[in-house]
Amino acid sequence: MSEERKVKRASKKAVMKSFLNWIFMAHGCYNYERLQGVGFLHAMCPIIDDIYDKDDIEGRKKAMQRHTAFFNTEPRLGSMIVGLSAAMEERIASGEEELAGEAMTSIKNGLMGPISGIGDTFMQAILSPLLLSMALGLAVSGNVLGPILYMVLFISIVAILGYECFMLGYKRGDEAILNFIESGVINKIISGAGIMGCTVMGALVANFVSMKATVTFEMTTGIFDLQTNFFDAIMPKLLPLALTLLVYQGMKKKDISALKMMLILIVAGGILGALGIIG
Amino acid sequence: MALWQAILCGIFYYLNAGPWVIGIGFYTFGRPLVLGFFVGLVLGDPITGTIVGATIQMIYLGLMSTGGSYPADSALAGIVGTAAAITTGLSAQEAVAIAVPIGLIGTIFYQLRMVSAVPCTHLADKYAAEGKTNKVWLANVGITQVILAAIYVIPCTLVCYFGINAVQGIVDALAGSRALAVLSAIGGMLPAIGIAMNMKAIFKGDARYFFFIGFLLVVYFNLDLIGIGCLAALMAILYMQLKSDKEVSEV
Repeated sequence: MSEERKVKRASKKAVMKSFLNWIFMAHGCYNYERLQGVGFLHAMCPIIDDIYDKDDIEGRKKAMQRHTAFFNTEPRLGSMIVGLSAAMEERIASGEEELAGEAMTSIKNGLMGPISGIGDTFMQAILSPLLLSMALGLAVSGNVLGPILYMVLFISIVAILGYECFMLGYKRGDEAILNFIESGVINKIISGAGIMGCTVMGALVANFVSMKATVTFEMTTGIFDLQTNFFDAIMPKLLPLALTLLVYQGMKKKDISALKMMLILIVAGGILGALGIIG
Repeated sequence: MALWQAILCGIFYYLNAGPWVIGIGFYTFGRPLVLGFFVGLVLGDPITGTIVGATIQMIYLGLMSTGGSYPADSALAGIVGTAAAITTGLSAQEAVAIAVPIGLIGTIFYQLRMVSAVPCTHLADKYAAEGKTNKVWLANVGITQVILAAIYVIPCTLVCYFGINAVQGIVDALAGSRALAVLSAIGGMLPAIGIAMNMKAIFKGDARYFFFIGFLLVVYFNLDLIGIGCLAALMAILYMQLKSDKEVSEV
């Protein structure tokens, strides 16, 4: 005789609704007190609604109150935590009460940190700058395909990634998630994409940062233009490269914030420009 | 700018904060690249809009917003910068210098949004205590989005409707002076920040060499960005394979 209890499953429709609630509305009520807390509860509601009887108010209350706490992660990768919680709620409703207390809380809290670490790096430091850079190449010459392709690609990637992650958590459980976090595959993708990103950033410097010296000297041999006769002779785009590396050093090593750095550049550029040194 | 155009700009600004673009308003209507196109479309010049939006986008390339932090509002900067350039004839680089302070002002609305939604968490608590699964959407979407729309649509509409005229006045006053050249020089330098912000996250280890390869490929070989992107992907794959071979042979 099998000891496996029969698990009460939520309908496919409820699972889909839970995923959609999350992927659209995770930041619906984003706020300083609980961040995505209400978003998480909203995503759990279709599941809870489906697995508890209409008149089982007590069960509904308890289930809902498990998901009102502070929660914050990267929503796309983090949808695996929502999927996992949905599967856990099904098991709790089927009688595995031991999952209801600390197990649920510690799984949610334990996973949200590492997943937001990986997810934010992937989405904001890699995927978004890379797609933006490609699109910028088109857009800067006035090709409207740049913004359109960027948007279509980003939306498709998010929809697929979010759905696959949700189902990974829902169907394969916490072990699959831990394997996913600890496997070398993610690190490999991130370091490979880092190489790609760095190459493209270097190309962007040459394309989009501009700084030109406007100083000229009168010499007996003719006019000596600091930009064309000196900097360009060494290497074209030398000043933009030097500026970018300087800004990077300042922000990384001296920990100058982007905001301060903007003010510094505006003041420095204003003075040098007004004096006619750059332009 | 007509009122209906200003209101549409306000709606774009709200879409950046609201959930309707499958939860990635931040990655779509929060990006000057995308906003430049849409604002341009509304103002009747999507091509100029795209160019200006792309130029403003550069400063915010490496923008990271994590755990409720929000260093700069690239959305408001993109909308107002693009609108100012199209209606007043400023160049893309001059528009960048105008967009920067606007992007700082915009962070106020983010703070407002993060505070104003707090009471709705307590409403959600109440529904949870009553077991009302069918009501939670009110706390997460119904009420919050009305508040959010008010916080975002109204100020952006006002800035676009009244502010752009003020910019026009300033531009007319500055015409012919050296000030616009200085603005343009500043606008040319600022993209270094967007790139440096992204470098902070990825410029490490052997990847650093590839930064210079990318730079040289443009300076000496004039490759465009799509070409660089494809080449970069191939180099990354090759590098990862060679590296794992080496790791295996070292064992």
